[in-house]
Amino acid sequence: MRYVGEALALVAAATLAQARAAAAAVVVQYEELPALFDMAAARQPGAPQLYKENNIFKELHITRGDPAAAFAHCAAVVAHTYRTPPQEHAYLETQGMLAVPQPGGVMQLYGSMQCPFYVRDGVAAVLGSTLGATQITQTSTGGAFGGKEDVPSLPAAHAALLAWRTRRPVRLIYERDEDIICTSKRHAAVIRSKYGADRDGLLRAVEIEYLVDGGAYATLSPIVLFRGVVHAAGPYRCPNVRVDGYAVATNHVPAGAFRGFGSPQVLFAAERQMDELARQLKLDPVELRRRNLLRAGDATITGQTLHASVGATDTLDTALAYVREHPLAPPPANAPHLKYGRGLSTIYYGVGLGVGGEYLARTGATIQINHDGSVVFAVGTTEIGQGMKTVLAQIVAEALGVPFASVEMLPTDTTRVPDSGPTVASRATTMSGNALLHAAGQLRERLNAVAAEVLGRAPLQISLHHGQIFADGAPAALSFAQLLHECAVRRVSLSAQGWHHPRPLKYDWQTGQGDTYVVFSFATNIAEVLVDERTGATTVLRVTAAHDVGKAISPAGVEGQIEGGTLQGIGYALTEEIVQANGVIRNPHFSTYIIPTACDMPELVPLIVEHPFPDGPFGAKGFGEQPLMGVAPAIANAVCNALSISQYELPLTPERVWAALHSA
Amino acid sequence: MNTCRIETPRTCAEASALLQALPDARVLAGGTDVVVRLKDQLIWPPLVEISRLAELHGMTEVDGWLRLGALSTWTEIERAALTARHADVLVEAAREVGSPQIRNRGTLGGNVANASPAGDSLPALIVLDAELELRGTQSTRRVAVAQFCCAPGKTVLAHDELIVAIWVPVRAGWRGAFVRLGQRAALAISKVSVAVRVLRADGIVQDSRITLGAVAPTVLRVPEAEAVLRGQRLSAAVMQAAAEVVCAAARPITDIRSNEPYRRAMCGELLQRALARLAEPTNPSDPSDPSDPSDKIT
Amino acid sequence: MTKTTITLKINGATRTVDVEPSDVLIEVLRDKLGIKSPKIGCDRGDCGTCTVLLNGQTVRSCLVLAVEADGGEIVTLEGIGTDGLTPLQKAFIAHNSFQCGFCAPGVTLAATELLRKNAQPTRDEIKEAIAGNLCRCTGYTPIIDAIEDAAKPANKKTKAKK
Repeated sequence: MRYVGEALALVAAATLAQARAAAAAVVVQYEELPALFDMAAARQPGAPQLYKENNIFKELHITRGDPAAAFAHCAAVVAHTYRTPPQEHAYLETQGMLAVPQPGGVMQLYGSMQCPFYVRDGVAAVLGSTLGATQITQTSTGGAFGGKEDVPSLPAAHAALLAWRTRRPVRLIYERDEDIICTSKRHAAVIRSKYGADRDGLLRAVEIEYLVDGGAYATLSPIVLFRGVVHAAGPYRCPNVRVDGYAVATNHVPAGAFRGFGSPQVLFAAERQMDELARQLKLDPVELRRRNLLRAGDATITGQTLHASVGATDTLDTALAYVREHPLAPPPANAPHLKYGRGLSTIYYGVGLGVGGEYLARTGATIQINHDGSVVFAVGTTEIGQGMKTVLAQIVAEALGVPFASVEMLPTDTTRVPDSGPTVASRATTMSGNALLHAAGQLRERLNAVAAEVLGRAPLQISLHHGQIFADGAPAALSFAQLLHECAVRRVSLSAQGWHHPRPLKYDWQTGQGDTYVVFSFATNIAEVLVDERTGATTVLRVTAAHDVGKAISPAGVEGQIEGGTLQGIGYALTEEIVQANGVIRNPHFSTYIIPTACDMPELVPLIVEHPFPDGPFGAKGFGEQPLMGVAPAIANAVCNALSISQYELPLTPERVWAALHSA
Repeated sequence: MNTCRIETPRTCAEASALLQALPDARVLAGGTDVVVRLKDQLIWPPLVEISRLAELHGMTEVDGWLRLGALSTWTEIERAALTARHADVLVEAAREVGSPQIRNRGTLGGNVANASPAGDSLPALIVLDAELELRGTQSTRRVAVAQFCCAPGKTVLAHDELIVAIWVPVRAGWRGAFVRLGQRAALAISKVSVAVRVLRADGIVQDSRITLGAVAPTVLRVPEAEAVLRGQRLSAAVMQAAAEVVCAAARPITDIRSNEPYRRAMCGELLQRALARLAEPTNPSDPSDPSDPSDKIT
Repeated sequence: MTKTTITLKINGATRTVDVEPSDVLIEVLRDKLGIKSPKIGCDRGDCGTCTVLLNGQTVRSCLVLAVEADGGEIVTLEGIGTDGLTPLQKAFIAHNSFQCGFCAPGVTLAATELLRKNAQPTRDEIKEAIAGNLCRCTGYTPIIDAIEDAAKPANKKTKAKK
């Protein structure tokens, strides 16, 4: 057994009470082995050996220019160590699966999940059956945020095993404390960071060591680490860079995917470093960022040239303009202990799986137009509350030229479309969107051809909008219903499959140089806070968040993602921390793991910036994770500015801030 | 769930008799804490569900006392005119408890019997000099809330006894405040709480009560800090001096919610905030303001 | 005493059901009566997804024993908007208030209780009324906006009178 919470035995019973009693009757005899709970100690000689010879699941390096030499010529150098805690997803619906054995040896699973194809592969492997004999259907999923990426494969396999053994349906739903104890977290991290700039505030050298606690099994740590090292220096130009990333093994619960996927930790460090550098250079932190932000034509730290859709500076200007035009009321005059502070962060996010997960970067889709005019489509990605269903239905309606209300999405199921990879990495809009555009294009060709024939025109003269047919831009004497009838008479198939994969990326894994993601999204967050210098308590007054999303297909959906992600970021900044003692999670309930309530919510200002992505559907690029990522550094910078202190660790609890004030 | 036994007595006598007959029984009085704990147990003890005991409901003013039925909910306490008039500090504490759904269900008697060092009713009731009416099979007795808890979860309640009512003496001229820190703005358990009640004449403190919650195994009353206030105006220096005394008196621990030095320091900070609020002049034109008559009459 | 029969008036209909003394109200609603809108998010009163109205007040149905509710009147989301969506529900849709939807039944009942008792709540009163209902998706903003909007007609009427 490698961590507290690892399954040792499975019990199925007719009632929950019987199952509990049976599980309580299991007697386990443990022989204790030396354990490892400190990620830094994991790399020391003599540490208990958990994984290979050095307890390192994965190491990744980026080398560009000669940072060691460049530091010698820098006018300002700042070096600090930053720490971030494990964060719990706190989706409100716990992990849950229903396994139903079907006649003919097929195992059918229904459950809460992001990635049905992962579940399918996991269940088939455990049962020793074929992928064809395994059918996975996603049910309405009560939140995920990365926590239902790889994890559901485990309860699914457990439920399937019991169903296979008993030949009866088996339901397995985690209780809240089980869910918090047994499932993945955002990686705890230690980031050692050294930044150097010249007199003009241009970044000349960056050295970063990024260490994450992967827990007891590798799971997603290698690819989390990849995203982390690529994002380690933020959205800035720098000619001399060294990033060393290590994902190490410990006896903690395995860490995994969580909105931002290894980047919020490094971006906290990066954006705190920019403020520390600005302080040392006596330069406005806005100005320091402006001088270094990536623009079109610039190269990232991996040497990837960004050709288009680079809205970094625009997000900075947009957020600043809003705050300037909408000043907050000054703090109460009779409360001198309440200190106002403002902080900002500018960040970027590589959209999609990137070169680290390129082999999974493909998606399928099907669209069917029924003879009554209703349209159904199926994709391999999932609706998990992020609003994919709405966005994809809009794309289908627009591409086919039919009314939005006539389009419905089928539940995501592994038997409807080919393996489409996971619903992660903010990829659903761009990937499934493009696959649907591919399918819709085929259908439009067929519809246009039939309409052209009926109307005696050329297919290119035909267009369709909101279910109305136009010839050369003028309404045609042919209704959509008639067109469908004409298609039926001609026995034309109105069902089509779409497929999409992005252009290949070239990357050198030895030097860490090359193209990492097909496109980047950008965001600037401005946090305004009041810090009580006597209690150390921070009240966030307002977060102004400007996001370059390429094109907002559903603006209300984009705003919803910004608002929700921002509040998760506020939790990460101020209260959220999984506390472990000797591998035991001490706060496995919502009374002790503290996520924000409605009363903790400040004014949230979502601002949409659009720099279209040429390869995205209607110019859209994914961004769903990004709203969380820049919030903690913006708040941390605001707190530091309010009190003229420096903080290097999350969360900024009142206890921590108070201690910083009293040690000064 | 396992099967267990649950009794729903209709009279106090019946309830006490049941408790005597079922030595491991637990009383259910709203259940917002007890049910949570039961769920952690494989086998449930017998339960005596007392919501149908009419005597335990309602609030009345009797002979200079405010009688709060033990089953008064937080919501009732928050909204009643009687508590607003005679138990200001308890109303403030009630507003801080859990969520609307918990306040609709959780009861004052249940919170007292729970004897949690972080329970929000206890510091407030102690500064009100409140007493508990305890009824057993043989007799009824009154115990000061201050004498009721002996350790976390441990009280002087005999097994056959029920808390029937909480009695708060009606006293003119006293004003109180309850302040606390939680881990977030709502739906939080106190990591430090301070309740204060002060009687002033001409701005001079005649008498006071100060209690600290969540910083010792039971709620702490701090008479040394009360002594600092006696005969003084609530000046910044006096408040500061009292704050230093409560910081020294606190015996906090480090746990999942906070740590020892922070809790200790916050006792003083919260006391100063509570006293500063009481020191503010009251607004006579505002009818909702529980104004301090002693400041005006004398 | 083991099995016992209780009577509940649920969403206007009288239902009798056999329960164990240790059955919790939410289990009875979901598993024995087929009322699935109350959700189990934490099963210990910390999250609010199980919120139902019991005798006109919202409670955590995971903390109420079924026996305690005997003779009581319960309203769940299934009993709200039976004659078409309520103004509150329409406002939730108009504001894109929910994402995953798991908190929605509880939030709807908490807001329903608030608007019944206070037709013109302030924004802070709205926040306090739903403070016991955790939402991890939305950041609460569109939920609060919708409740504010649903309360608006009452606001206008009062203002017009003055």
